[in-house]
Amino acid sequence: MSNEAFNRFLRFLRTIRFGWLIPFFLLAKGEDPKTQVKAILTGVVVPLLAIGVFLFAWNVASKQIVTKFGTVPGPRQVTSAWGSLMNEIRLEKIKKEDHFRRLREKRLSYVSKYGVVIEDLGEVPDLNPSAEDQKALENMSTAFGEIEELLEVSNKISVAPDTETAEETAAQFSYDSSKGVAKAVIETLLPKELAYTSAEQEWNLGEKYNPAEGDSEEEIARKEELKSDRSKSLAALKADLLIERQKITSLATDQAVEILAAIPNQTRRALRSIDKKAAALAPILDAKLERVLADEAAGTKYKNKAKLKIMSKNFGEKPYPGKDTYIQQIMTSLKTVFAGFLIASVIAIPIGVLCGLNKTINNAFNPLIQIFKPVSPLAWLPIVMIVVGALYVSDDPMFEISFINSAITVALCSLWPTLVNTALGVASTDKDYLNVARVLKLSWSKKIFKVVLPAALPLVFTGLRLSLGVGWMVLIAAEMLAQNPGLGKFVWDMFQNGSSETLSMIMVAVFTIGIIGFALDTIMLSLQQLVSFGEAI
Amino acid sequence: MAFLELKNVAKGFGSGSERSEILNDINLDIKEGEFVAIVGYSGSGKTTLISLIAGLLGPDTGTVMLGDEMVTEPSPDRAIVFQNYSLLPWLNVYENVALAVDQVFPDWSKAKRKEQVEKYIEMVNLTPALLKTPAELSGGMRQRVSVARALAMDPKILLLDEPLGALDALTRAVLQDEICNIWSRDKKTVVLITNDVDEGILMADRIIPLSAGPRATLGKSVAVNIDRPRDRKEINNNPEYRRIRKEVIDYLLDEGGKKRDSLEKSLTLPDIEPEDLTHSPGLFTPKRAPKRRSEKKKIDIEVAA
Repeated sequence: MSNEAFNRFLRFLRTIRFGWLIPFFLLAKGEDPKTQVKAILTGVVVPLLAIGVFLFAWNVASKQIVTKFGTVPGPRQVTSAWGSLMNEIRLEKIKKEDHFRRLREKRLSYVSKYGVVIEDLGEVPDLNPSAEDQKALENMSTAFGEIEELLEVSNKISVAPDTETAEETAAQFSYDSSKGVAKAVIETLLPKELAYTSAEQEWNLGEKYNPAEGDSEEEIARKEELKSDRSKSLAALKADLLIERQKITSLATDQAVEILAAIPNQTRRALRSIDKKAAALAPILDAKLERVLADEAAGTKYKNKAKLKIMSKNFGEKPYPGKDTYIQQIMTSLKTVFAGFLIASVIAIPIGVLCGLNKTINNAFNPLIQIFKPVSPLAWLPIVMIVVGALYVSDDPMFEISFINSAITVALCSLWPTLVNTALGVASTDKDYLNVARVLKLSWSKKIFKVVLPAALPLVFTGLRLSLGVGWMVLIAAEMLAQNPGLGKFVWDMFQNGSSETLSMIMVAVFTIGIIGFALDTIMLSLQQLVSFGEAI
Repeated sequence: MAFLELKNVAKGFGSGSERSEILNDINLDIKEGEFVAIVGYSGSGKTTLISLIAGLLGPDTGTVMLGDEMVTEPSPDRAIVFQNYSLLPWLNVYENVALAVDQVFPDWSKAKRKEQVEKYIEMVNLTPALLKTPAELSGGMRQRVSVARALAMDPKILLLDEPLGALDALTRAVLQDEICNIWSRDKKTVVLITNDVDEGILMADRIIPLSAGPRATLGKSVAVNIDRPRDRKEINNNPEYRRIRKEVIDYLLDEGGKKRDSLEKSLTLPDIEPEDLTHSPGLFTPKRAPKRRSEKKKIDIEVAA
């Protein structure tokens, strides 16, 4: 790599906030090792230490606080919650595949059951499975039989009252994969389950901790303390147990994914061709049904109408009705914030330019800007909901109404930084540039697009960057209340369902929000530096 | 007949007590093809003067005429090279010049405009830096782009507003020679504003001192009858050079250098206001305390020296 390219690479790293990597590259190049080591110490080791201290303090502090959902989750629980969210994504994939497998089998069973209807249709794709198809179907069904058993293992065994019973249950499983998972459950999860159950039972007995009649003050105080210690240790056991459960679930899912991956391509190809034929049959069935209904109105009856109706219904499109996974929720949030940001930019930049160009316009807008700027999204949202509810009426809406509500709320809150900064940027265009425009007698539009806007661009981008930051922050609140299926709703739902994983899930969301916000800011910062003509910001 | 003519021009800024008169009683005649240098103190209003000629500012009194036309607004006819280059930093060298050429010659074919841009960039020896942005150029190179941009507009008159003021002495010398070379090729009318008497004598046909402000005015014009090309090493020994230099500097130091400034002095009056005894103190009026002038305002009194 030439020196210039190397330097450009380093500059790029700095732009995308990876400047802390630079000393490593320079060290590898052998440039002044002492300085580089120092830079690494201050630029990398110190932040890492700070993160370590934070994690440690968090870990210690979290164990001290017991809420109604158990202890406040520490780093381990939050990592485990993240794992369970990722696991859910894989499970959803498996469930989706199962859904289509069942649908396929159902359709084929109708084809063999209601052959009469098919005969009446005339020339149609032959859906009767060949020997090869039959084999593929069987393969699939065996695979899902195994998966089904596998995913049940943990539930069946972990409720066993003791190890012997658990081993008996484990012996009844028919697949090796299930037996393997069962073994893992018996070895790691079951002891914890048993320990927790017995601890809970002891707790429930209560005599040791509940003050009895005639206890002295000291006795009551001692019992209170004992009670608090006990509840802490019980909560700690529970937290540990949850982590272990998540590990087992993840193990089972791993195996299930492997089973699916092991299905040969030939089988999948055969199944795909069946699905294709079924999809081709659907419109033919629909058309026939329509004809039959028309004939019926005219007086001619079709004897297999009921069967035809059932078939038409079952061959119609049946998408998988699964719930949104965490990743899909993140994507929804990103879509919403970008939609809001786009609306805000489209409004704010032109108004900002006008305000910057003309003092009178600026004076006109200024009070409005100053008044609306500090308004919280929580105040805008009800207004937006009512207005959008009144204006956006459609039977087949292109966008969900909750999406529009959140996007507009985001727009209303993130409008202001762009507007103010654009106005400032335009107003502070270097007088010399304007003189050049005057000497050249540039037309108004040319002056705006060739001189004023480019000159204001760095500040416009500063505004956009601030706007996106505000928008992302506001979005979570807006989604919570508007029930837009994104991260905000995720947090709200978790809060509402109040399970023992609530807090750790919300903390996962907190970190997700933070990291994505940081990434968005970095992207905007890079763009901002791209448009600032080589001047550092 | 004069090509550029300023008659009784005066210019000031602000109003009321804030008003300051910058230029007063400016009379200037410049012939076509002449290279005139105006030399003066910094802050004396040189930039105001060139802005008046360019039409960026309008005079309070008097007229500015170019040929038969009165100057009322800026125009590419009067190209100006600013002291701080004024290149658009988001455009590269080619685009900066092309912006001017495309604007001034909209009827030309694309190829012809391209040729014009390249010709003038070549003239200032910047062809290798054609695609660089101003941030990547040195001060001297930036000023060359600025000169190329001005010349490429093919103006009737070229106004140079301390074009070399921000450059180091060596770059300055090189650019002085380059500008003289370019001028000797197409003999444009040039007005050069500078605070360097030597630069003026070296480059111009005629040198006019501008007295110190406020109310600066032009002194007696001195013709520079030294053969071109002028050699900066030899010229120091030239008696004509020394005579002109002395004459201009004498003017600037003597009559032109006298500040017509007013002296500002704060005179503090006794710090207590006379008491108002017309109303007798009532029950609810607050207790009287001495009123101090300093609590109300500070009065500055201007005294002419």
